Amino acid sequence: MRTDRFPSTLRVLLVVGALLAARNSAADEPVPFEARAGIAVARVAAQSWAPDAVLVWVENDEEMDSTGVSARWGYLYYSPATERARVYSVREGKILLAENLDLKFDAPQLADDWIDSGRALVAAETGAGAEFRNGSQGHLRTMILTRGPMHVTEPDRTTWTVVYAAEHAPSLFVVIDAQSGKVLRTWRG
Amino acid sequence: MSAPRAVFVAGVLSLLLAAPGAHAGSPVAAPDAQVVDVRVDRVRPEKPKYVTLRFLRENRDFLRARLDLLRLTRNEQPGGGDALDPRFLAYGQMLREALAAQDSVAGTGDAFARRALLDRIARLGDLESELDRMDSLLAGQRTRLTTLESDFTGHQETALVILVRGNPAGGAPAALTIVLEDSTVLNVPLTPAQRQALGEGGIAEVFHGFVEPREQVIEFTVARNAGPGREQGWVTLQPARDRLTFLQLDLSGLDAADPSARLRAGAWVFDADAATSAR
Repeated sequence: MRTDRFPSTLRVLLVVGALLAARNSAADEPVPFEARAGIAVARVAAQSWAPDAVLVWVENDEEMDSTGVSARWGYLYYSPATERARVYSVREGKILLAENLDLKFDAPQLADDWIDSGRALVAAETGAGAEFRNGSQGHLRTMILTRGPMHVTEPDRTTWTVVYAAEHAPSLFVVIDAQSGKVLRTWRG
Repeated sequence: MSAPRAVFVAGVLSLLLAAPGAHAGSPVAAPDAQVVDVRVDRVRPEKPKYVTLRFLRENRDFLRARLDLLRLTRNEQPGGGDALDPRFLAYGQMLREALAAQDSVAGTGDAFARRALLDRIARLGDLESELDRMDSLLAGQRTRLTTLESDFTGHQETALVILVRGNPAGGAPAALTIVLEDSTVLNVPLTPAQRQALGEGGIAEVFHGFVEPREQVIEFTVARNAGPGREQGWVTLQPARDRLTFLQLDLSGLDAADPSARLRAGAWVFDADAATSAR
């Protein structure tokens, strides 16, 4: 009798402990956000680093979910005066990491009025993303905001590039005009 | 650097006014309640490693080639012109308005003299309206001054001031080295006047500049006058965004036998509103 009661008490304690641990771990999870929400703190830091710093690249630093949010975003600033680039990785409104980029990355400055990552992802999904995910067992991998390098035929456009990856198929790239939300082109590679 | 210096001077003055009981040699003594002790580590604290811009790094050669292609096709040349700050255009308009107001006042003065000469009694109503007009001109000037004040004195950037205080048993050190996290190395010699001030309980400012509003590690190295070697410590600090943060290094225990007591630190955020209201 005693041997039966002890394991059942232990089981109850284990279940309660597991529930508490799960609740705490959920509370510790950083809140994901769309790309624009991290700009303000990154800009303040960039201006203290170089007064002429301009934003040239935005990329998710942690996994994206299906609504276009990520728990951490990276913001790359370029200073024409010093010809150096510095990245700020932002999570929960704080700069988690700041470091200089060991590459000359003199990309053009992003336009100010770009759509946020959630709306860009909706456009990509409608374009070809959803079909790729379903047909090739693919998943959303990366979202990049830049101007020039991902769409050289119209280098003045600020564009979102949404990258889908699949295990047994070439990746899908969807380039979206970051001002209108229109899909400009897609390619596999 | 001039903007934070101006704010710093204002802060120092505010603190002096706010804390009349502060030591005469302490130019920026903070109310004790605001100062937070900061731990000084004797070994460099380890920070977790994070990966950022994974796609850019994985495709760096491709992206670099694309940027080079853009340069070739566009033949871009760096321009020298910058966008004009609209405030500076507004200042010209404000100056013209001020000059126009000055002319109006002068004209009003002439008219007043003529009218007084011709009829000193029957024009009291006109005189009152002229006074009203002058009032409105003065109000206009006041508005323009408020605009100027808000543009030039209202915005605080994220800035850090590092102070040193304390008089070690072996005397104040001749210099100290500060290494910021972006690898900036500051070798700061302490002048005889600063060392004397430290000996008399004063404070010396050894750094003042803009910093990034993020957690960062600052390294201090102080040569000891008494005993061998030098003392090294690392302070982890998160300067508050758009605020002036003070970090104070206390050297009074520099020659202590207990290594953990040799360097101590405290920090506080300058509260301009509190200092102003205390006045």
